[in-house]
Amino acid sequence: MISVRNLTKHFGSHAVLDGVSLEVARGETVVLLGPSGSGKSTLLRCILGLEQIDSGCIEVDGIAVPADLPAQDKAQCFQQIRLRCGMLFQQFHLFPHLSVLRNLTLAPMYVKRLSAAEAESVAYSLLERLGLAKKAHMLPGKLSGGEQQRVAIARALAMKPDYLLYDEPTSSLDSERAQEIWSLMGELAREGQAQLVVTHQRELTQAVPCRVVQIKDGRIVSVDH
Amino acid sequence: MYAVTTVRYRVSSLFRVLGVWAVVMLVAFPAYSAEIPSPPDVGVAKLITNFLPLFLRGTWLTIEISVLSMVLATGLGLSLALLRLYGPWWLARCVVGYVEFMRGTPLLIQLFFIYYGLPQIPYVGVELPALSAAILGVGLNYAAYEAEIYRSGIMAIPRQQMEAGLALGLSRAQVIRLIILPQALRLVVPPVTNDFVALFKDTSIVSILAISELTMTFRSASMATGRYVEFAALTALIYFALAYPLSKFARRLEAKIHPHHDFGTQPH
Repeated sequence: MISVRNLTKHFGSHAVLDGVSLEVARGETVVLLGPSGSGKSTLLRCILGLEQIDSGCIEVDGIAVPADLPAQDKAQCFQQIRLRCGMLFQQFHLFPHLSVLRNLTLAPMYVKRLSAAEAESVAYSLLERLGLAKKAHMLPGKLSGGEQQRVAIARALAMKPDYLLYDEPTSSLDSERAQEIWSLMGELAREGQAQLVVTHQRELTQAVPCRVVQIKDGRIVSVDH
Repeated sequence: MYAVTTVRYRVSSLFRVLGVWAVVMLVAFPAYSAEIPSPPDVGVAKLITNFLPLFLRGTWLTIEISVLSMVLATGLGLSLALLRLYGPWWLARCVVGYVEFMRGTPLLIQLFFIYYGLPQIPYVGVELPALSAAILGVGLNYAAYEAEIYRSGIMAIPRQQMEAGLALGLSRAQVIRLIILPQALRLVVPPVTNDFVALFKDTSIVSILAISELTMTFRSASMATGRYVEFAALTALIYFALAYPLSKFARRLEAKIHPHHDFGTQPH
């Protein structure tokens, strides 16, 4: 379970996150819906330790990171958390110098110490599933935006994460490509993949079976059950 | 973008310098020729043939100094850039100090210091052979410039590449090695090649340490014979013949890299 408790985060004097609490159970898909500037992306980045928190606590599967944990322990905890959580970005952030296949095998080989053959067989089955098998040896720059986001999802899935975190996953795609990604996310949701999605696109909540949490000005304003 | 203009600038300035030099030689030389010992009555072809082995040896030494200093400069430069960007703050400060000092003082003075000054420092002073002092001096000096090139290359890689790598569970060092550097190094190949051309020409300065590289060979040959025009032309020609293709090569690399620079994952 991902559990965020009473999280606050300031940029200067501006409170981006103002006492946010949120839970994502295993197998659950939660959509955090809010206008831009509401602090929702910052929340995701805090969960992965890409952003420091001022107070509160982040806990993933029993690994608790309170704001006042010493820096070294924090780094270790976030390393463990990152192994459990995959992250998707609005701009995909694939590694442009590596082929699609290498994008998928890099982390399994260097983090999980899989052999190249093992990592590739995982990668190929994911690419096959997402209809990208033919693109395995292309560079990401040659792919369309929708394809790039699917490769990014495959790259995250290759690490077999317990949770997938999405930061505006379809905001830079046209509606047709966005639909493709949503149906893939719906498929993953039905398979029991836990997902936390941050978006301002309300349509997403209709396309993907989920629990919706609304955020505004750094505060949770409503929770649907 | 700046690298393209640098190449153009370097190549055209090379032509310009050569042109100006030729004009100055033609105009000024007759005026001073009376004061210079009259050249022995030998034909140009014979003169060049006689001295060619000496010049080739000088050329080889120039190439050797250039290559070894460049190896030192690129290796040290990359380390300095990494320390400045990812090292602890106090080391980063030291690197800034080093870079600014090396770029802000003349290479000639640095060479004098290493060759003549170092041995005079009590306890730690070492006496270096002239060739080692030359390679060390040029290498240390150019490392400062290389460090800045590498730094700009690394900084050109979007910050989100680091975040994407960290989010996958890679360590910072792994992200730098596997993701940031391979992309950054591609970007800096043209400017580094350009710098190599500049370094190659700058090695003429080490003739001051009485190393018989190309420029020193020119000085001794022309002083012995008084045939400054012929030998200056020959020396310039050799420098140019080696530097120009390299400049062209850098420009070709630049053109090759830039179309792919649009990696398609960055918003800009």
